[in-house]
Amino acid sequence: MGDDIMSYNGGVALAMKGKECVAIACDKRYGVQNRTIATNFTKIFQYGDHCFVALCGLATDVQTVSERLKFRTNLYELREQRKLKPIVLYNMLTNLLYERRFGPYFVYALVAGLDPKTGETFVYDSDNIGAISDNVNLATVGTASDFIFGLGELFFKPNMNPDELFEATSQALLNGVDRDSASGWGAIVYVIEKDKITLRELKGRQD
Amino acid sequence: MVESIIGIRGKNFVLLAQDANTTKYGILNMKFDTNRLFKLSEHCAMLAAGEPGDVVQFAEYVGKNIQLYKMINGIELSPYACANFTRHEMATSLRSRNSFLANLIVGGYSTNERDQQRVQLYSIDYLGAMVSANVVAHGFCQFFALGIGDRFWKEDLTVEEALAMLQIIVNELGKRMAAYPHCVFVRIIDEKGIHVLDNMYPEKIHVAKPSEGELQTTADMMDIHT
Repeated sequence: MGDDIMSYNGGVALAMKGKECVAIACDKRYGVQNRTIATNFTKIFQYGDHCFVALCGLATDVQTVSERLKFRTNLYELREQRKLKPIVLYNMLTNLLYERRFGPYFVYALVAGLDPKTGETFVYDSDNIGAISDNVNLATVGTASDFIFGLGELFFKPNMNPDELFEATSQALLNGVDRDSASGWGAIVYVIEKDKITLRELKGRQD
Repeated sequence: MVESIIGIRGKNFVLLAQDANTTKYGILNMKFDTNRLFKLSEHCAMLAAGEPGDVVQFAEYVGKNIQLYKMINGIELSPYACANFTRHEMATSLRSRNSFLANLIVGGYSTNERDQQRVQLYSIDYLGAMVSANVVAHGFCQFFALGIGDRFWKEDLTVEEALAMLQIIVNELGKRMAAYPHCVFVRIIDEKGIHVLDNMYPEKIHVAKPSEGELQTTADMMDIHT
């Protein structure tokens, strides 16, 4: 660990696509280096009906970036009189991060969303200075992201239905965080479909 | 780091405890009745520990601004609002010329009936990361308070149970911290406001006298004086 700022607080998040559904999941640990302080610190924030953002990294910046993004999305909805689309949210987030190009926020971000009319799914990720990615099948951020990428690639199948997607996402997350001391202590999974959003809490190993 | 601040959430109250020592040069005990509690509103208070100047400057700045809000708008901010305001100020100052090395605990009782959770307790570290928990602490006492809290905290804690848990924590601090907390100030915040409870003291440690048997050496045991 040493003084690596991205692993000071720990935490991990993952997003995966299915057929007309997306899942986004994160762990619940809040710690300071090797000490766990709280087990209710979720890193997923909702902006709009079907748009979710997960932020992993330094906890203070997770909270600051989510607040600043909320401010911008609120103004967007007031001015435009319409709800956000995932691609718009993603562009706002990357713009927010790039504004601090030479004094960046220490968060990596994931955006997951759905278009409720067409069922088109969106999963994007970003580094801490707002690098734009393509619309990918699977994305992870955080201290255990490498472990979860491997498991995610293994469990991912194209066109999964919501239940299969939930299973794949939760198994990838739970088994990945078991290999990382800075993540874990429970998890939450949002499965976003055209007509409903399901939030499930996973218990997992409480260490 | 050697200053202890602890918060415990109870059924309809928040217990805020702080050690009352001021140490200098890592070794001298300057003062035994230091106050670390800053009142934010009638039902909300903040414990602050860390760099001495920063603690007072930041806490007074936040406290006065919250009181100003009350004067302008005529309503008291809930502990949740106070904590979020404090966190925002801390996070803004982090990347500016003046950052504050102060760890805080904000706790209180919300007077807004529509709040789901009336008893609110938050921990804010010097970087501006805020989290809500049932037992919160900052400094070296974190190692003891959080572990003891995991063991003894339960839903709907009564005042007596919370004070018993706090006494266990204070006894551990007295036993294991080189910076011995001579006295711990205890305050409680419930729907009636902020009240000061009796001071808490660590239990006296009783150590067995060494036995005379230990004073014998092997040479003594060899009987050479027959």
